[in-house]
Amino acid sequence: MDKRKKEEQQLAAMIEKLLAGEKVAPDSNASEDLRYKLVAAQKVVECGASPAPAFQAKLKRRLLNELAAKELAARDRQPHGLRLFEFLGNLIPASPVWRTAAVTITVGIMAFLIVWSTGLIPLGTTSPDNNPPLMGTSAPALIEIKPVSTEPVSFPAGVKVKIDLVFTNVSSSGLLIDPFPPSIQITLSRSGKLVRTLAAGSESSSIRVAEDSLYSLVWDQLDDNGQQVAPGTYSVSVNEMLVKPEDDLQATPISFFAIVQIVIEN
Amino acid sequence: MDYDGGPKPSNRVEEFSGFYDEYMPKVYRYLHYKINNQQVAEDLTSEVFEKALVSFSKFDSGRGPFSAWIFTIARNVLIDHYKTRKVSTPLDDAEELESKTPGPEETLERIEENMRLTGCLSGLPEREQEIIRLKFGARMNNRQISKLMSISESNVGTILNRSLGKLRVALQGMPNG
Repeated sequence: MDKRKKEEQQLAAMIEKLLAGEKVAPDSNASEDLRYKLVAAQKVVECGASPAPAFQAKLKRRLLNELAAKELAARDRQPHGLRLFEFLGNLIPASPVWRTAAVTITVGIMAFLIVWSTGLIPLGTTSPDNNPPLMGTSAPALIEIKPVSTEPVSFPAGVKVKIDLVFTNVSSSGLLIDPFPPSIQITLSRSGKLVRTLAAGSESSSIRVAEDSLYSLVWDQLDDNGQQVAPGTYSVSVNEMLVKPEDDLQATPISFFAIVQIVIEN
Repeated sequence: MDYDGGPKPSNRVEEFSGFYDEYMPKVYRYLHYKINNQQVAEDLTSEVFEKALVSFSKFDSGRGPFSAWIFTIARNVLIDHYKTRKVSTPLDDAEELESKTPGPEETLERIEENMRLTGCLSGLPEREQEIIRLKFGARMNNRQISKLMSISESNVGTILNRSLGKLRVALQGMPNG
């Protein structure tokens, strides 16, 4: 190994010790260059600033209160069935043995029921109108789409529907959505029948980590034949939006179903 | 956990609290190396963690470590800060700090030394400054830095070595420099 590389490694090791708070002195046979670089590193460490304790504590308190409030609000929005499931889960002791046994028994019962039945067992017909919106996706979580307002959305017939949607990057790298906005499907909630497809845009949108892109959806309440849709509840979905993380070569198609429900009144 | 009573903390709250305790000082230090202004560094640190909070419920440690995630956010916040605002240079900020903070001579001496170092740091190419900030501010090892900046680990070591060499030359004339 040449001398330069060796000194580089020595310097790297000394810096790690410095950052760990240790006192570091170069070897007696270290070159003058190495000694002076160590001094430079020491000065950089000394000039590093620490946050004021009061600021650190105040910010932490505010953030944790916000997060706790969000968690509580999310829990309140959970369907009762899910809360029951969570409650039942808490009844089982936390020991891994108990949890493994419970999971094994549950999986076994489910497998038995599936085999016993004559085919795929539907989980009961459900009216989409009575279900909370599904955030089903067909890929690992990279992006989230939500309406800006969580209030129910109702419009009189014939009035232009405008809904603001937020696309949030929940991955650990930047994302490119191309095209943007993606194609949007509007379906009749009760039957799932597609009534209108809003074409994708011609641009793209880059969204950095933990940031949002806003899109205002506008629908004139017409179907694909140019006719006014009937009063009822309609779902807004995105089918196969192409999302490419910046550290991937390929885009992933991601779908979102029933992002928001729109009620068209008489 | 030292936050106001209220609802019983969930695991996610405790998890975020742990991340905050570990990474907040590092984020602050990372930002301060560039900004060299306490107030602005505090504002930007708040902004970083507010953004992290918004997406924290969906953070998936399987896709990468928290350190990479939080410092990607911090880097973007820093880029935005210099892009969208009329920003004074770190030296201007430090001079303002000096004029508002009279104190014992050794404190002023320390401030002068910081200013000189900040000036030397800002004279380095941005990529070298970033590596210095991530190493000394964020306390990342070379492998973590290489992944964040998409360069090889060996290159990180070489660049760091070169940067300290340049700082050494620039700092000559400082006490013990």
